[in-house]
Amino acid sequence: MTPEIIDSLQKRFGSADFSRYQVVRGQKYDFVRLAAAGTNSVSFFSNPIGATDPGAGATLFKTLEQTNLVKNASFGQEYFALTQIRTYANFVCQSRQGFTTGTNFTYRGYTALTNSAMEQLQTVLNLGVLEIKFAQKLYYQIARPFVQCPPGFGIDIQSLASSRTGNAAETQVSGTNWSARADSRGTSVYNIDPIQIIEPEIQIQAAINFPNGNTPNFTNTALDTANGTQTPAVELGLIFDGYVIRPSQ
Amino acid sequence: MGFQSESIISAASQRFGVIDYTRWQAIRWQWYSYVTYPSAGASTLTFFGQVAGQTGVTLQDTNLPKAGSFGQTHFQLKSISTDIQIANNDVDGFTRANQATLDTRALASDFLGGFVQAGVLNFAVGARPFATILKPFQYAPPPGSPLDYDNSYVNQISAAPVPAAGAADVVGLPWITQTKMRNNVYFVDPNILIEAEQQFTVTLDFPSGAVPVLATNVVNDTTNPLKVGVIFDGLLLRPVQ
Repeated sequence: MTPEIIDSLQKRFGSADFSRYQVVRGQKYDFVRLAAAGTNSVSFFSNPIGATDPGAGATLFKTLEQTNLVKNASFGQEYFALTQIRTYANFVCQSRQGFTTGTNFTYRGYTALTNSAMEQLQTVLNLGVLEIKFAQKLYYQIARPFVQCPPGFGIDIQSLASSRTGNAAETQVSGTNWSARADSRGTSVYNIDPIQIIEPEIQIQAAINFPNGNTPNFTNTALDTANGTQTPAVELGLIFDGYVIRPSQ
Repeated sequence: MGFQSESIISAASQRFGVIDYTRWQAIRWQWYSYVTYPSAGASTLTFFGQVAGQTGVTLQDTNLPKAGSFGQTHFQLKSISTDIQIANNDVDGFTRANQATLDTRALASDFLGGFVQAGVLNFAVGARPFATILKPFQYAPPPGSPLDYDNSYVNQISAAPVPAAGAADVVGLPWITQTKMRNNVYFVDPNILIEAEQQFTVTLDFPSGAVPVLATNVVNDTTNPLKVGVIFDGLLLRPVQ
């Protein structure tokens, strides 16, 4: 009798109509900080909003800017139809770096030096194996995910420009400033066909593993306006694009 | 069967009204709303909260007829775009003489390491969320950008770098925009129909902390404000007259 009573009460007094469902485009996303000293695995969808980001220390709590996950390792009470897998890797914006960047950091900082932070980022972009499991069953195993599953969004750099001094430590020559990033074209994303339905409360495990060794060490990378060394914060992201299927209200 | 008053209004409308509510017209339409992105950054920016004619708000900023709704028309939402505009980008300041403060001299700095790399756009109808778009200036760019620039070494401000120690050089002009590919637009599929007078909210939030403008020598909140916008593209449904 209990299910019938609950069903009856829900129909009379409930705030959602479970006999009718609504489909809207939506994303499930998770961005995590890359451990600066290097790591052989980065897990996604493990820490919901409000939890700390393991790669960023104990004081940085995740917000809606990093993830829209409200529950550990599942999408909660919604169905999700997965149509695209996107990945992301880049430096976090300057105001959230753990050091003061100065006023000519952008045009001398990332690429002006040998073994620079941008070179390290390029290494990250070329490595990794993405593994995604639903209810502990492997569904996707994709090598070089930043190449195979690019973000499909970004910025359009038409001219980057640069600056330098004659300091011997700066080896760049005319026009060599550059920016490493994955494909920003929307047509390049990894499409899921047929689409994959992820049912409510299904356990999700997703990670980018680096089986050939740890990610590059960003600690004290040669980087900053005075040719000094800093540790830039890098974030990796995993984005599921698709349809949220939820009861009508 | 409706109330008597409704019947009377309907009958009166059909005989004496200026609008025929039995026939509807659909036209492609864009609703847009631009607000100032303050130099100090902000934790939340609200779009579609003001109408043209309010203090400091013109048709360049918004074409919304009523704060928070589309008034007496329905709107079938097909895509969401963001936009960034500034009256004077003033890249002339990107010179060798300003070597020490180059990040502050071109808006490109903000594309590479500023607010363009952050934020989340929240769109709700009533109180129900319908879109949560991460890094919206990248995830939901405009369908095209007229701000094209042909990268050429002709554009170099200075001559080739001087290798001597202490000789500072600046090479080229930075020029960065949002992506301008039609396929990158955030398509709302399936479309969302927003009914007349339905209240909706669109906010750009930075819950991890405000992101100040980097190009502070270009952006000025009073004389050269940085404007960011949200554009809803779709079909406007209105009764035939």
